[in-house]
Amino acid sequence: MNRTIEEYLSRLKKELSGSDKATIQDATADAQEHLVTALASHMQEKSGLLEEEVLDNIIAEYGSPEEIAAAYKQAEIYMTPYIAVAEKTSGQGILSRFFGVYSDPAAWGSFLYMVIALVTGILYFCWVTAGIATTLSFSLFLFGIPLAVLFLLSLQGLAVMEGRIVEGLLGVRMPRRPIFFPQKEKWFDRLKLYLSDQHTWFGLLYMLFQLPLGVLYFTVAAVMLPLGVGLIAAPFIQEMLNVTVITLGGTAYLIPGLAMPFVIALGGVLITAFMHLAKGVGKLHGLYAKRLLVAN
Amino acid sequence: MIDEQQAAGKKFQKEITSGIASLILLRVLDGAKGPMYGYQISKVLGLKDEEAPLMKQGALYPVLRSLERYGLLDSLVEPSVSGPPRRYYTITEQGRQSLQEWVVIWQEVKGYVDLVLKGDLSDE
Repeated sequence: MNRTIEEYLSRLKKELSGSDKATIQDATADAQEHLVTALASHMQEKSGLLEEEVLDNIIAEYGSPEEIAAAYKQAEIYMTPYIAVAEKTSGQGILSRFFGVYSDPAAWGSFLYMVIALVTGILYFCWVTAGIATTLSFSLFLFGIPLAVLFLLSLQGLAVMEGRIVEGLLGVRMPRRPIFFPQKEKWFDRLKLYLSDQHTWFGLLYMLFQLPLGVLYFTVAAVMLPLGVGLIAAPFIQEMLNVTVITLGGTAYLIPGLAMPFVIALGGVLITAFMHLAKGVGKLHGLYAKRLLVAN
Repeated sequence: MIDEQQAAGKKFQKEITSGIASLILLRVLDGAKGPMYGYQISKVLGLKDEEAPLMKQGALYPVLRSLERYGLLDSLVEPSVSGPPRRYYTITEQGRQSLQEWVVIWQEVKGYVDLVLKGDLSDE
């Protein structure tokens, strides 16, 4: 029936097909952890049974793939990220829909993500480039292989961490466990397995691209927001302090009294447009992160 | 007919265990000396009876996840020598408070259900 743990896991995956990719990754990781631990513990007891028989007993206690898939599907209802739950339906009018973005947690989450992405982007980039450089230079030595495996494992850890940030701020359900890989005894076999899997490369690319993306997101936020705030504040500063605020090409310009409401409104529109842009960026980045960091 | 009866029985069991499982897991982790991982918890609970198990061991994990999702549990992944990394769970302060409330709810429900089952209720 269940010849190996891998067979059980692939049956579980089949039963869960159609569920969220993150749920499938979590379910297989949980099952792998349990079955491997239980098998090791039972084999130590030396009951005289064959490994296959022990595994069949363990699986009978753990639950069939059908039962376990049902349990995860049921729990999935409660696993929807906060932001996805909070995403409310917008008002009817164009104006209320446009300005309603301020009460939308998804827009604020995305805005925060755009700022944080610069910091995480720098960290990931440094880690990946330092890791690649170190592993390549040590690849000539015997201990280069375990080092490469450890580096690739650390990428899986980073992917889970990034997943937590993405789920918390962008409202996209991400796995709480690393991608499942079959267990291999030898370091070289593990390295071969990691290198031949597309998810390793997707994760690596994601970590590298996070730097340019982080810079881009931060720059857009750092240009649009202060510009909007500046436009709103300019007429007030000009009137209260009696100074010219707008200077273009060395010439200072006074804002005419009649234009002031328009300048303030333009600032408001700019900030609101930025919030919409942030929300859009957040949605796209969520999809992109799910594609690259979650097992297919 | 028998199939339908069995299906109804299974559905009843599933519905009744889904809430109780959270209460049981919180209690086990509240009484634990340190962080525990899934297999350890299932051993403590002794979910072995194949004839009429309260729930399958594997069904514990999604419940642990949803408890963590609501901030009642905390978890930490630690690498293991023999296999894949293990997730260790601990109860949070919020989890302890919820446990106290849930125990009261459970006792009220249990008392009431016992009363109904004994047939001690009357419309007078």
